[in-house]
Amino acid sequence: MPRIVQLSLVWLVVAALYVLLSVQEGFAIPTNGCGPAGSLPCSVPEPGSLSLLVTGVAATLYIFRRRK
Amino acid sequence: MRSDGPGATPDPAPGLGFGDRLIWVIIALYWLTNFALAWATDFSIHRLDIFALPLAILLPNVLFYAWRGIVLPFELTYCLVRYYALGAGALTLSYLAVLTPMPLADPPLARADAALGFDWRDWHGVVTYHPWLHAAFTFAYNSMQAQIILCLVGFPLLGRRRRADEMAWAFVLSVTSTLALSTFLPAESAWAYFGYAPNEPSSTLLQFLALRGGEMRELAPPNLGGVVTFPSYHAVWAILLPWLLRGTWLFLPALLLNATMLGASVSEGGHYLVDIIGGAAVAGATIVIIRLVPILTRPAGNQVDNA
Repeated sequence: MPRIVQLSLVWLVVAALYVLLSVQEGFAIPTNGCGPAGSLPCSVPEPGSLSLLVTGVAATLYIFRRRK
Repeated sequence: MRSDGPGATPDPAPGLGFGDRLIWVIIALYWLTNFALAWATDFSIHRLDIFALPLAILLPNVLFYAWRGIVLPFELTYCLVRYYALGAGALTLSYLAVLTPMPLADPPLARADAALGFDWRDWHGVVTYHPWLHAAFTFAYNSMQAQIILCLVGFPLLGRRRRADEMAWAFVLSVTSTLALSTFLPAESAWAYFGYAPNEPSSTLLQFLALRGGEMRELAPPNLGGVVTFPSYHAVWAILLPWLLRGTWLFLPALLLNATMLGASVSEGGHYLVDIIGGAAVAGATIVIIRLVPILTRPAGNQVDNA
């Protein structure tokens, strides 16, 4: 299977899982309060979405490394 | 097995060293303590599925890449699993520790600040009076988690395995000592002590008060932000992050940003000055231990690791 197809499949699955989980778990927007005012957003990805992103990156690395 | 960067030493296989095994023992102890404390205090931690989700996503990755023997994706996913497993355990314990009936440490902390000649209200007034300073402090203070995640992902991606291990141990040692200290010195924060809270109560302060008052009987993600005042955990990372980035081109920007974060912890985090000093001491002790006990980290995966 061509590498571009593999990469497309990987990121399609990641995107689909993200949409599915963000709807189910509601983790699309990180809203952890930071600091005393409570109005300071902590702009970091929520653990679930970061895990999905890293999964996609790891799979991409695997596809490139395996073909070397 | 291919190497992971210029000048890399041969990498035998994806796998765990002594330090890693020790970290997993510590993570297990954290969770055993959490479940024991939750059971003893009738506190519910069943809503921690927010942490189970990333682990469920990442663990199959870790096992697959370990099986296939591909180092880079293994390190990337493994570092994140390690971070979330420990982070969730430590965060949970930070909430359970507040349930211990220790007297509030705000009065002695405020007295310590006064003995140092520091007036929190004056400092807060100065920051509030200068919007540019307030904006810079807000930006720096909020950058901590983003910086941690960048390092967490960046070190394994760049093949800097030893730095990734140093970061893991920096987290283990600093969070453990921070939790130990804060358990015996619980405090509402300078923000609350000096009377600023009624107008703008933070979610973490409300959680702290609810825990102490017995109204909060379960962890309620996603609004878990940590309830530690002394020592300041922002101050801890303000020192650890530039240290972890030593020898790279990011060192100077990180130094500037984290020096700002150190100053911001007083006004933006509602910390006493002694919280910052305590955090700096925790960070210093953490670095010394990591430097003195090299067996905690695996051999360098990249020559830059040796800086």
